[in-house]
Amino acid sequence: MKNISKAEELLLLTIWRLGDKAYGISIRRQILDDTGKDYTYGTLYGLLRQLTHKDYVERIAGSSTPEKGGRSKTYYKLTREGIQALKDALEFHRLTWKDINEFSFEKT
Amino acid sequence: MKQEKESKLKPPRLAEWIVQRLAWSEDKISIKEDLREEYEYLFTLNGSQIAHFWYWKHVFRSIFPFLKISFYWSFTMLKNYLKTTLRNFRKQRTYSLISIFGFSLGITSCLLIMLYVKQELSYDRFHTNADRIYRVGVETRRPQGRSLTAATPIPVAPALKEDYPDIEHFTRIYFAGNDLVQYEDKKFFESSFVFIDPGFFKIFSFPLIKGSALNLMEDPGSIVITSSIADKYFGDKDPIGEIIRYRNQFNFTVAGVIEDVPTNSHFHFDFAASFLALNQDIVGFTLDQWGAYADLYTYVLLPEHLNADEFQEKVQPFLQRHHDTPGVTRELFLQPLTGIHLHSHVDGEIEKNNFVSNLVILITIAFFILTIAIINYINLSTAHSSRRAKEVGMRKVLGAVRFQLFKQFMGESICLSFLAMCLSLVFIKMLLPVFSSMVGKPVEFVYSENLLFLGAILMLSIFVGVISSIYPALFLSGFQPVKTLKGLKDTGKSSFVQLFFRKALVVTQFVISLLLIIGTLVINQQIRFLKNTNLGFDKEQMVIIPFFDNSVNDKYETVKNELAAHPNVISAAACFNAPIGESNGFAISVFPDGKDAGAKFVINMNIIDFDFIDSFGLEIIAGRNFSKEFTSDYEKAFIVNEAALKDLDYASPEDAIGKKFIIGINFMEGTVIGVVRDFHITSLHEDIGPLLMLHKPEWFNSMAVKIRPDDISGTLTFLEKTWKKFVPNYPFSFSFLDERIDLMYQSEKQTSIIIRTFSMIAIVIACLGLFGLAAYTAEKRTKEIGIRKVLGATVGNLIFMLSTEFTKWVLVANVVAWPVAYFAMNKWLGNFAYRTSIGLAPFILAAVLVFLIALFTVSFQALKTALANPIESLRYE
Repeated sequence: MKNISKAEELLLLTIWRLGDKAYGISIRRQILDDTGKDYTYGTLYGLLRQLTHKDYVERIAGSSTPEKGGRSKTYYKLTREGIQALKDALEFHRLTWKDINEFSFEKT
Repeated sequence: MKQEKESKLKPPRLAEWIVQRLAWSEDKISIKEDLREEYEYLFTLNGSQIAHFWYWKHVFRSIFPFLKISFYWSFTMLKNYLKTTLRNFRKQRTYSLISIFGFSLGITSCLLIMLYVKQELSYDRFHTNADRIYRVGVETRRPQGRSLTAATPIPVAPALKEDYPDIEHFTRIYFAGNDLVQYEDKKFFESSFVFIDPGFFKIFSFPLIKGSALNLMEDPGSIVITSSIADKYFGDKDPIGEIIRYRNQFNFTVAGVIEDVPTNSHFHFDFAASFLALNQDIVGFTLDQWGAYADLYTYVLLPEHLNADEFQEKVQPFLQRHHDTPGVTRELFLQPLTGIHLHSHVDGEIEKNNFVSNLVILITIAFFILTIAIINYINLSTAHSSRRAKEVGMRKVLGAVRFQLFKQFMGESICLSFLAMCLSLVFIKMLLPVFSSMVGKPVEFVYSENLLFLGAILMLSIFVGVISSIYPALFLSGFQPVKTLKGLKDTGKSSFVQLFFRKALVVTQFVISLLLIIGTLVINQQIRFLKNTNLGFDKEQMVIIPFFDNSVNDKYETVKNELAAHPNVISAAACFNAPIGESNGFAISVFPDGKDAGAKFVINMNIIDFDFIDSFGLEIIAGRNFSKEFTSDYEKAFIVNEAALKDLDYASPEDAIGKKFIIGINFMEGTVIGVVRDFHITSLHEDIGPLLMLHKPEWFNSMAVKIRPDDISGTLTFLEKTWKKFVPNYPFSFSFLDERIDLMYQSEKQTSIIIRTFSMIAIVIACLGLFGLAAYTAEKRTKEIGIRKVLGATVGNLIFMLSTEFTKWVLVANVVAWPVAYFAMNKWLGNFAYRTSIGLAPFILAAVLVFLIALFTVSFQALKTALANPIESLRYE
């Protein structure tokens, strides 16, 4: 089981959530909306590149849409390894947070 | 209207540009578009100001992550580059070794020369007050011309201090020449014994190891020695207070020990005795004479505020005031201490000084060699470019941009030159002793003391790496991926400029090689000329034995007769010095028109006995030799040379006989009894000067013994035994005159050896490059050669075909090199009053040599290609 960082985890989740609409802007927006974290494109693309290199995410060249002035977006999609990594992360959370809820901390 | 709006929607251009610089290539467009889209959204929502602000803020916040990531990735690429570099080294071992070796040869030669030049430039700068120390010299002007001498009369220094109290300190240094030094039972001949004033150690900074600096040298019986002398005489004993005996006459008490005088000092000594102990016996004349010159030099320390030029003007009339001799103007001149070693070439220099021109020659050679090494690398790497073509294509397909490839190849060559530099540091350590003996003095290189120098070396290696890789990197990174991957060997037709550039490089290499070879040949020719020129006297098998003290002078005839009695001794003659001596003998003033009319010029004087002229084979063209029959020949008769006639205004040799004039030692008057044909009394750098010969046995200083060439060692043993009978107190020492004369051209010989060695290195490096280029040409024409061979061309035909091009280059190189070499060598020969004519021989010889070397290098490769089986070569590609 490979460990992934919190940021990577967040990114993978977001991409998965966005489905076939995951590209630069939408990913950034989604993260901003969900967590309030204002990622810069520098950080975002750095992470994306890292994930691509680890084969968790693949780039898909989208077809150009006329209203965008012929621009072809690059979409991101989870690979099987990416999904596995998310599953592993979830499993990891389950194992580590088992029997613990917010009240657990009150006792001590 | 719409257009206007669109242009307003554009994000700030500068910010966009920054992002584009920072972003990595594959995400460049996405990032730009995303940013733009959000910008447009914000713009339509909140207006331009907020959108602008957002954009800038975003860009600034992105800078760090961008840099972090691009650094990470370029590091990953660097690993890959290093891997391919190493792989290439391993795959093409010969080629890589040739490259590194060529580079390190070039860098080594360059560094050695730099070390030497640095040392030459550092002369006398180690004195704390170096910029305020001046040497005082004398300029003598007379109608015949002017002469400069570094020596001063003995009384000058103290009188100068008295007249110009501005002078902080003065010192005289008297070089006493070879003499015996004794401590208890240890007896040695010491050649560097000097007498100095107390001011010496206040002017110069020779660090005192033992003894007290206070009042040093003020006691007339005190002496300071160097540490190596202290070891030699006293071993572990404390030398302070010990007594040294000098010349079997004078006792000195050791008052201090200094460190050895460093190489980069323009004078050296081992013993420095107090000047107060100097007397008439040692110098040879009374110390108060203003007209007499000896090996005595005057140094002054000027105060900080004093302008040396103004001070020089003030001291100019000094000599006229103290020693006015009508008809001759004598002025003092000041030489800055730090300029002496490279710029001072006046009469009577203490040691042989160097010429700036020699350093310029060396630096030029260093530059030449470096150029050749760089060209060599350019040729080799472009020649082997086809091997890298596939790699370039692959990288390009995978997204490498040209600049990345450019960086890669440049980095590779910097790596290479760095490796070469490391190698050359090892080479330098190994070669330094050899190089030192080549330049004739120790050249030192201590890594720790040369941090700045090491920095310079590093810069040099990077510089070499960058310069040599610009062209190959441009060339290699310009390949078109499709063609290279398809396996087309010759990627893209070389443009005319490219071809011209490469040819120009090779021609430059040939030109440099030719220049160096012609230079070597001409210098050798001149040295041969110097050796073979008839000096006007007999120098072969002449043994010179110095006297050292006056014990021989009164019985010199007995000694002479005993020496001459041996069957292998042809003749013996006593004299002051041999025709060409270590020093030029005395230079004394001449008063042709009587004592009161003043001195007119300076003449060289030699003191000779009756046999001197016959023994040296000099020719008397008028009058007669000194003879025992004339008692007046003692002191009162002069023999002069032809050159002196002109200065004395005598019409002809016959006319001179019987004329009288006065000379500047004790105002002795003499009659001219004979005139000898001119012979050389100084090195051939100079014209023959006026000479006066006098018979005065008290002043004899050496014995010249002419021996037969058979059983020389036997004869020498006999000479020693006989000599010892008369002079038991001194060890027997002698020198051969012809060897002493050869020594005068030491500097030229060294220059010649240095140039020869480095031209050899240059040629070797050039050959490496040529070899690579020949390989390239041959490889390119493999198919053509195959076809020609199938059609019946012989191996000879093919080699001829492949060599023609190189022949053309050599011809072009000759056209360029000849005039340059002619001009340069003519200038060099200008240093000599007597010189060889250059002639065509060195040029033709150099051309043939370079042609043969080129042909050999090229044929080797051509032969390989031509001998290959045509089937193989046709299948090639």
